[in-house]
Amino acid sequence: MTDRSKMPVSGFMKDVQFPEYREHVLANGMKVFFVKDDKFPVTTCRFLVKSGSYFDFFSNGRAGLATVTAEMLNRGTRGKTYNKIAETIDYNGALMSNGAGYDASFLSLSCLKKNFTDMFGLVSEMMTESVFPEEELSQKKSQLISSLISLQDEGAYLAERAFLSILYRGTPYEMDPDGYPDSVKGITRDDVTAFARENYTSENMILGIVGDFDEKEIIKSAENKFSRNGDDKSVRRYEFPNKSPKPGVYIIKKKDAFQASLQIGHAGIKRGHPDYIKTHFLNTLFGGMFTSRINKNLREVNGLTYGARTSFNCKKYAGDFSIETEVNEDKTGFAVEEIIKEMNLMRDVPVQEEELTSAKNYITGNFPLQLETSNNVAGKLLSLELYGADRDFYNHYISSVNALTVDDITETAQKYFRPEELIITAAGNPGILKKQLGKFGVTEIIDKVK
Amino acid sequence: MVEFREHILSNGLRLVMSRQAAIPNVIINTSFHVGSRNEEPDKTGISHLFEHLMFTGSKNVPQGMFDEILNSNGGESNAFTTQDYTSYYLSVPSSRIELGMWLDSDRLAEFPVNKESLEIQKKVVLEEKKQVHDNAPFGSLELESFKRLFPKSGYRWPIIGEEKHIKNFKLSDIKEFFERFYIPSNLVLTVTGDIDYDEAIKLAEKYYGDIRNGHAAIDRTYDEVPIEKSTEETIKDNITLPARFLFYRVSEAGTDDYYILRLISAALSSGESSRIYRALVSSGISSEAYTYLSGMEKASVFTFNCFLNEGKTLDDAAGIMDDILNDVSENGLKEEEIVKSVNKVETSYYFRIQSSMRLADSLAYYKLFFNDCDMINKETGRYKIFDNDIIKRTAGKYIKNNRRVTLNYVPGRKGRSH
Repeated sequence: MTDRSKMPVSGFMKDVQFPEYREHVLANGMKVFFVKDDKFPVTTCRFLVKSGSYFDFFSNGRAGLATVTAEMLNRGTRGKTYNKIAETIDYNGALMSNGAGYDASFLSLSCLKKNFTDMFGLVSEMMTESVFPEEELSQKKSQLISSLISLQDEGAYLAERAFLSILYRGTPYEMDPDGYPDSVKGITRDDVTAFARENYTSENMILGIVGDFDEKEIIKSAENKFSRNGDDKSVRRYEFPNKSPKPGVYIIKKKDAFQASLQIGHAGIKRGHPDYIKTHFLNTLFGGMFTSRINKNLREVNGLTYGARTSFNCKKYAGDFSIETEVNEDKTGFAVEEIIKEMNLMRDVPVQEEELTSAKNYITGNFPLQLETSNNVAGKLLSLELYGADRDFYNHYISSVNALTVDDITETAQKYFRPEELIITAAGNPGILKKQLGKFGVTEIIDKVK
Repeated sequence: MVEFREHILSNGLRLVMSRQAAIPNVIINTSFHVGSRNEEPDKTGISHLFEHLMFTGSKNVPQGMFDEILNSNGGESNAFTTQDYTSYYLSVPSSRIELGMWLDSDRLAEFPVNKESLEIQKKVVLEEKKQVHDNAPFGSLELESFKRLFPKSGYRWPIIGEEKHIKNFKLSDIKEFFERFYIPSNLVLTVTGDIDYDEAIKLAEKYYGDIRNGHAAIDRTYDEVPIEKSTEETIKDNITLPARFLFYRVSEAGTDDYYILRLISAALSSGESSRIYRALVSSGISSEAYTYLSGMEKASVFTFNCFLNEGKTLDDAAGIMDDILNDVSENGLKEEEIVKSVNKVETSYYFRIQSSMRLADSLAYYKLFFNDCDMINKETGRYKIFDNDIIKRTAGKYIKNNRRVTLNYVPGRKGRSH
């Protein structure tokens, strides 16, 4: 019999380098990143437009405009109808996705190597020559509106949406990037055309190509398609307020709920902040992995939930920190107490060296899995460019994490965990939640999230 | 082409390996041939509950330390349970493959569960049931469809089980389940990633080769009654917009009929040029409509989902859904529809095998159910041999002449009784 009483001694973890990539600048200034990977005969191209729903704010409250524009890209160009485009994509067995988030819009297409040249020509056309036909727009809008209506049936969506709306009230990050039923209804073809004209310009776009491809051929094709420069896009600056809004408890009515959907948090930091790695590490330890403090407490010790996680969401110009979980409604108050207790522990008691090392190893050991598929690599590269982060970020990432000390963690927790600022949003049975959460502050009942 | 090797350990345990050295990590997948359909009708949910309990510690791994040890060594774990099998994976840096095998095998060598962990995980599973089923829009679909499609066999209850069964499990039930199903002959061990084949065999022999084998025969019979007539039900749910769902009981996974139905499903609904997208989504009736095929060991389920747009009624969709299915039964698919689906299957295949985790998943599945890992390389080719006559015949057999279950989900107060 094998002696299992001793844990096998662990070997060293190998160093992992971020895959090599090449950067090329087109004549019009547009940046193209190439990551060559010929293990499989497939290629992916990903266009990123450095404008997302942040810019909806400057479009007369047309929340959802960036999303509608991106989702309309395959619905007709000067030379091709929606049907023709759909047929071509499907006939080539290509997989396409397009949409928008807070800071960027994207279009991504993957296909077999042998079809890539044709497909690249087609997506380039969509990025530069879309005409957004009226009829297709009205169909896209009704589809999106119905999806948004159905989202309101989900407790987790209601809690998250209420939390973000309250935290970012009055700022360009207040609204859902997908918009709301009423705001999407109001979007016109002129809005979409103007959004594309102002934002889908060569200097506002980045392109990532990964997989098996002929670089020269792609450059030639891209120079040809993207030769025009757009109008100069005026930069829309907005001064984000420095502090969190008033803390409190917000209950979103969902009277037939079987659980309480909770989202709790406060303001965080933007992506380019120098403390980005520190908060990322703190979060891993606190609520970013299965054995993190929050999941261990709420799930593994107290059995209150199927899972709980925390995150620092770092956007381009601002950020937030939050805990999200769905808990037994009769224990909602207890769950919130435990969350606050854990935040304070993190601030007041230095972490044990062992816990620090454990989180470092977790990040180090799992990092290669994030680089395994070419899509992930492309996504990471384009994000660095989007957020203006250090190009070598991922080459220094593991060593930066491993350099953190116990004091760094305590300081970071004291700076970025602020229990007195917590905004607590909960979707569920209002009667139960009011009783459970009343003790945490002034309580407001919300009928509908918008 | 995916290259792989196989080996049988001294206790009969089947080992599958595939070296993929793109990253310095190893995936260890253990898949057990037991799922919810093998449960007793008065003890439903035990397979899934047991999956949770596998992470709570074992003889040499203190309670609560399984994932602690794994995470602190740069690893990660997860698992899932289906009607037919239960699959676990863990990833570790390749230098720590031995640690991974030690952690994984220790929970198989001796019954790993204690009472305290059982009581906590019962609570966690009940919260999971609320989150995934009771509190989620359309979360009762599996329950409502399977009980009607499979009136007799173990497919009739949901994987997560009934609340009263989950609450009542005793440690003795769990131990009996473990001893019966968690034995080497009922398991495939799959290792992918940055491995050395000889070392992997040596370590697998060391850690898994001495695990006791059970003797109890596992009853895998499947006895189901024909569906006598089509049924249509209205289900009230906490939703705002209605949806219509059609379900057909069809051939089990792996047969020609199964692959033909998968081809039909892909042709009908993948991409914005597909018939379903055009007739239901582009036409403004539905926000989302598609067919899919859930392959299972003894039967599969062909489903047609249609979520309605605001202002549209179930009647607006019903006729169109029927027309699409009748047309494919009578006329089959067009040449270009077949080409499109085959191409899409091929593209998806490469993206699936790029990930060592998904690769391990696929190899384990093919070995466990078909004793043929090479299906991973042959699968795409199977679609290419079907012509329209056989497509028409198969659609006619299963869709036109088969009894179906129709569920109309409408807004209304969902009972809190179950």
